[in-house]
Parts: sequence; C-alpha cells; structure tokens
Amino acid sequence: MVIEGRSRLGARLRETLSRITEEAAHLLDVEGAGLRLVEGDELVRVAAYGPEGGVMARERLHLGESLSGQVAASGRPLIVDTPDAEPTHDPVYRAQAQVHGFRSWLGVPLRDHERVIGVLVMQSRTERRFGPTDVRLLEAFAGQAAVAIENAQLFEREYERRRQLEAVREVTSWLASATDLATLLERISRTAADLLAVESVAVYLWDEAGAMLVPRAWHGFGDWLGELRLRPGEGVAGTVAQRRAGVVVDDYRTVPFAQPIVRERDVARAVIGEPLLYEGELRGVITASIRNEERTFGEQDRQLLSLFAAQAVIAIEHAHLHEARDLALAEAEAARRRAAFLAEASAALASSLDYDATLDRIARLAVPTLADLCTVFMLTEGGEIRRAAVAHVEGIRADLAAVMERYRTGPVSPYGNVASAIRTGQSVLREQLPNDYFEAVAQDADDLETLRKLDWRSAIVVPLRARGETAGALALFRSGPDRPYDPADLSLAEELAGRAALAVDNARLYREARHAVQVRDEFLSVAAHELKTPVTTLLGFSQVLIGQLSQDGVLDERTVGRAVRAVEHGSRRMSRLVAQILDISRLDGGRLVLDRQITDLSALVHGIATAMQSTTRRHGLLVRTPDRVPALVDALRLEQVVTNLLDNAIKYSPTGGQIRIELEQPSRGVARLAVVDHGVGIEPERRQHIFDRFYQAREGDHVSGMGLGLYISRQIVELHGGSIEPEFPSDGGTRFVVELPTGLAEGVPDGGRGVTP
Amino acid sequence: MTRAARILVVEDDENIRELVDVILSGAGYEVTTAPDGAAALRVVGNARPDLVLLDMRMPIMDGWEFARQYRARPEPPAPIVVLTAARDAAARAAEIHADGFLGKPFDIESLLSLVSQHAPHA
Repeated sequence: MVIEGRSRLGARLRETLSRITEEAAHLLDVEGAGLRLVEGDELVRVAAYGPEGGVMARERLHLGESLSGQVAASGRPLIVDTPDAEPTHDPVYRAQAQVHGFRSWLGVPLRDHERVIGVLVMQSRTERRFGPTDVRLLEAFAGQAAVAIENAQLFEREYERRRQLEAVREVTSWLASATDLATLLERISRTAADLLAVESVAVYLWDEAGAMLVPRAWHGFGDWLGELRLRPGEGVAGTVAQRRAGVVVDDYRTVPFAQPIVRERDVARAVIGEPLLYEGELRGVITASIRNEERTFGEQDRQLLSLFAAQAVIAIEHAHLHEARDLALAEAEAARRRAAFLAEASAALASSLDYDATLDRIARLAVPTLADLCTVFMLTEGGEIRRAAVAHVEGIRADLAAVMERYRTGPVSPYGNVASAIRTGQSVLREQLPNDYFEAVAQDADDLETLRKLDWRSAIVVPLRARGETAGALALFRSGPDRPYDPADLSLAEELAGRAALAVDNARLYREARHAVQVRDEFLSVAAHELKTPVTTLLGFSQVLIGQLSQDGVLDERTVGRAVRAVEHGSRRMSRLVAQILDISRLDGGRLVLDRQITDLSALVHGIATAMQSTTRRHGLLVRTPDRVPALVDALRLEQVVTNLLDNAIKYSPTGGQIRIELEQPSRGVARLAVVDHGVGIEPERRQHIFDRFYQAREGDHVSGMGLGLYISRQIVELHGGSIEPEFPSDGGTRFVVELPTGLAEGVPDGGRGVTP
Repeated sequence: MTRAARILVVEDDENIRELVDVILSGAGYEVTTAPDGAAALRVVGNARPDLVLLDMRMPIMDGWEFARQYRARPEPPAPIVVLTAARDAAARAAEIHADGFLGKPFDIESLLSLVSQHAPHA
C-alpha cells in the first residue's frame, strides 16, 4: 500500500481514520488519541482526538523521532508513564503533557502484514497507568483498524479511478459539443490539472510548417510560456514529441534536455508529458508538473494521462475539423459579400459619367463596408494632391464636423502614405498606424490637432490606376482599436480601386470630350464673328458704290479709293481666316505636308516686316538679321509663322511701340528667330495654354482672332523639327523664340552681320 | 437752318469705322470716330454726340465699360445703338440698356433709318 500524498487523501478515507481514532479512545477510555501513517521516512498526522492542540501538535515526525517515531521504527508497543518528563519525548509534547495533565502514554504500531504503516497513540489524564491489558486490547483494535484503513484506501483508489475515468469520459463528450479549438484546449488543460491534482499543465500543438511545438493553453504558468517554442528534443515536451512516447521526470532541474528559461521561471520538479497522437501522427504534447513538493509522478499518473491524451486528441482533431469547416464557410460568405459589394460598386460607378459625382460615389461606396472614413485624393495638373471627395460613417463623427471640414480643405502631406502610394503606384497597408504617424505627416499645429481628433488607427491607401497612369489614390481609415485592416481588406480595397479608377478615367474622358465639343462650338461662334467683320466691310462699301452709281452714275474718286482699299483689306483678311480654318482641318487629319526649298530666311523676314510695317503707324518694326541665312524650309509656311508672330506682337501692343525681330545663327545648322514686343504680355496663369487650339491669350481684351495662330505656328515649326518657346521678360511684353534646323549639312559661309532699320 | 446731328462711332476695326463714316457723312451727319472706349471718352466732351454707335468687343476699353463711364458723366448722355457681330445682338444691347442695335453685316438703309430715328437733325 502506498500513500501518495496528504493532499490525495479522500474525504471518505479521512472520515474512516477519524472514526478509528475516536473509537480507540472510547475503547480505552482515554482523553487524548491520535493516528499517524507512514509516508516515506516520515510519520504524518492523519487524525486526532482530544483537547484542541493537545495531541498530535506536530504534523510530521521522522521515523525514530519522539515516542511515535520510536514505535514506528521498532514496530513494538510503547508505554511511557511520565510523558511530561520523558527525555526521548519531543519537547513540544512534553510541554503539552504538562499543560493538559496527561499522565500516561501508549503507542502501538499498525501493520499491513509485517510492514508498519502507522502508529495509534493513546494518552490518559487519570491516575491509571497503561498496562499489558491495554496493550493487547489496542493491538487487537489496531489489527482491525489496519484492515479498515486498507479497505478505505482501496475504496478511495477505486473511487479516484472512477472519478478519473469520469473526467476522461467527459472529454469524450466534448467531441459532440463542437466547441472552438481555443476553448477546448483551455478545458483540456484545466481538466488535466484536476485529474492529476497538479498546479501546472501546458498543452502544446505541433506546428508542422515550423517543425516545432507551440503552447496553446496552460495553467499555472505566466504569460512567458506563450513565447516558448520547442523543437523535438527540447524540454520535456520536445522529448515526448521526439520519442512519441510519455516521459516522466522526477526532478526537472537535473535532466539534460531542460530548457534554461523554464528552469529560470518555473520551480517545478516532477514533470510528466504525453504525446497527443492521432492515427499515429503527432498533433501535440500535454505536460503536467508539480512544484515545491516531494511528490513524483507514478505509473498510475502516466496511464491516466495517456488515456486522457488519447481522448483529448480526438476532441482536438474534431475541433480542427469544425474550425476548418467554419473557416471555409466564413470564407465563402466573405467571398459572396465581396462579390456583392463589388457588383454594387460597379453598378453604382457605371450609373454616372459626371466626374465630380463619380468621385463622390467612390468615397461613399467604401463607407461603411470598408471604412469609417474614405477620402479620394486626385493628382492635379500641377502635380499637387488634393482631396477630391470625402465620405464618413454617420453619427460617430458628428461632434467633429468642424474638424472634418478642416480636414476636407487642409493640406496634404507630401510625406504621407497617400503621396507615397501615388508616387510609387503601390498600395499601403498600415494595420496599426504608429503613434508618431500624425506628427510625421501633419503640415502644421492645426492639422495635427485635426488628425489626432479623427483618431484613425488603421489605414489602407490604394492608388487609382487606369491605363498605366496613377491619377490619384483611395485612402481608407478605421478608427478605434478593435478592427484593424488585414490583407483581405487590402485586396478588396484594391478591387474597388481598380473599378473606381476606370470610372474616374471614363468620367474624365467624357468631360474632356464634352469640353472639346464646347470648344468647337465656341470656335464656330468666334469664327463666324471674325468672318462677319470683313464681310461687313465688303458688303457696306459695295453698297456705297452701288448707291453712288444708281444715284447719278458718278463715283466720287475719294470714296472709290477708300472703298477699294477696304475691300482689298477685308478680302485678304477673309482669305487668311479661311486658310487658317483649312490648316486646322489639315493638321487634325495629319495632311499638312511641307514643300521644302532652299530659302534665305533673312530675305523672308525682311519682306514680311516691310509688309507688316505698312499696316501700322503706331508700331516701329526693328529688324536685325545676318546678310543671308539659307535654310531648307517651306517658305510659305514659315511666312505664316513669322506673320502670325508679328501680327500678335502688334495686336497685343495696342498702344504701339517698338517691335524687334532678330534672326541669328547661334550654331552651325541652327537658325533662331526672336520676336520681341513691349505690349500687354500674357498673364502667368494663362501662359501654359497659349499654344492650345482656339485659345486666346487675353480673353477679356476682345482682341480679334480665332485663337488659332500660335497653335498652327507651333505645328509648322515642329514639322520642321524646330521649337517655339515664349519668354516673359521681367520688364513686360513677350518674347517668342523660334529655333529651326536649317536642314543644310554644311552651312553657307557666314556673311557679315548687318542691321536693317 | 437745321444743325447736322452729331454721331460718335466707336469701333476698333478701321475699315468698318471708315465705312460708317463714309455712309453717315454722305447722309449729312457730323461724324467723330474712336478706335476704342477709352479714346471715345477722351473725345466725347468736344464731340457732344446726339447718338453713339458702339461696338462691344474692343481692345483697351470695351463697349460695356465705355457705356458705364459715359453714362456716369455729368451731362445727359446721348442714346447708344450697339453695333455688333455677335450672334445675340439683342442680348448684348440689353446688357447695357442700349437704345437700339444693329447686327453686322448690315445694309446701308438699316443703318441710316436707325440713326435718323435716334438722332434726327435738329
């Protein structure tokens, strides 16, 4: 018979021991009695009768120690008549005997066959001394008591075993209750601790990919255990995994495979481990340990844990299957939702071609499915990032209306995730925005306060890319700590962004097409207006002449002169307008072909300047050219360019002044022509458009013309392989510089430079 | 003896200016011309027109601005007839509360009848 520990004495056995002690006291008619059982080399108190603290004051005695120890060691009864003076009696008991007035002491051994299993002690206060009769009586009783104790222990063991089997059966019943894995492992850990009556249990699962054991549930360990990873052969669990068999360790501190961190953090000595094997495959390991006690694990513990592990692994496998099924169902549901969301998004985005409405729609689509706040950022023509549309969930941000408004109109950081996504064309997933993120991107103190109040915790930024161009980005934010974005959210956001980018691109194309139609309408209106002016002159002067003829048949000479000059001028103007309209048509159709001849650009420039000078008295045209600048060019087309530049210079200098025309050859094979006026110039915000079709540089000034001159000029220069650039000197006016390749490999010897007024 | 009515022609196109001058001078009016609104305001004090024929789109100062400044002058303004090549000549005339309008191109008869209606010889 083995008593495995005080803590394991069942209630039933305890009751039996108390009753035995009490009956023995009645039998001998004494005032004090006690019972100790042998455990290893100690005698442990298991029952006491009599005054409180008067007997069995010490819980444990070594074999041979004090009177009880002598009885256990010798296996013989002992009578002591002066227990308060007996030198071999423990001093505590001597004092006790004096206090409680015990006069006589009797102890007999309890035996199981030849082995001493305990000591029964009687103490008397009366004058009577214990004698041989008492000894025989008590020995007979002790013989009975030993059998009773044996029976009680057997019963206790049976009871314990049944309780354990019950616990194992309970594990089996979890198979049916499809609980989730985490809860199951938690319960397995707790049940194992109860079952083995230990403080600490750990359940590890085998990570096939990492080839290691990962702790998933534990009791009696700190959180540090969660960080532990054990490879086969490491620690008890690793050794169990390697051997695929149970391991029992009496003192963890002495085993070669002990883990330093465990030895440092945990005071456990005895450890037991069992593999969790499912159809021969390792699924994990369960370990249990005992601290601060002499108890070790025995064969019975090992069998019990093995039985428990066999049941537990089935439950684990079951939970795994459930979890996999739940995951598959959840994934299917998520996929269905994504598809529905994207279908809805596509439908919503297809329902309008209006650019701004489309941007608004995109922002609203993401809320609340994907974001608490969605901002559509667009890249402007000038390369700046602006917030084009903002949408947020209703209600929760109502108190932050002013903050939201500031956000809408506030600056966009060139260093933030948005700028980075637009620059690189790559998505950004920030599951957790770092604490100092806002400090890093805020443009000023106000901006920082705004960003902090909005309390974003997690962010996704996806670029809006269509036809290889990044036009902007979609930024999604979630506030609060409990819903960080994950890669699945990112991929949904990317899908949405792909559709959004297409919609934005379509809306932009539509807007541009509509704009082109508007521009053309406007052009027709301007062209009609421009044509009406010379037509008015032609019609009017014709009528004047006809009127004179029909009145008296005599034409006034002066009137005829004015009329004919005006008609000639008007006709030329009409012819030029018609030519421009034809040129536009040719350029649009790619049908403008150059007729290149060797031409002297100096002569060409002088010819035009002379002709133009005759049309104005307010302006002085000053021409500087080398003697000759030969080039292989289309002379008529270049005439058109120079005429147009001079025409503009005159037109945009309404108050007159000097206009300089300078031709030079800065290097061999290149001719450069500059036309410089000191007129009204071009406002900076309109400069980038002056070469656009139908564009007039100074809209409010009502300068005549169709806005085609510079557009056609540029096309002609570029067809020649040259360039035309405007410059805006700080002292006002405009300087146009045309550079042309002369098209002649060997330049004709440079004649000296001459100045022609 | 009747005094010839005085007409101020404000028009940026030199040929049209000359045409109107020829027609109205031939019909006995006293004609003053100006190439833009600012030039017209400079001569209006001396010319004391009975009628202004006004083009709208002109450089330096356009018809809208001229009408505003002309009417702000202390002496009572003469009627203004708008001369325009715009598609919606009537709308342009209404914009400055003009007394009449004539679209370009125009017939001599229309011009003469409109002028005589607004500026009879005194």
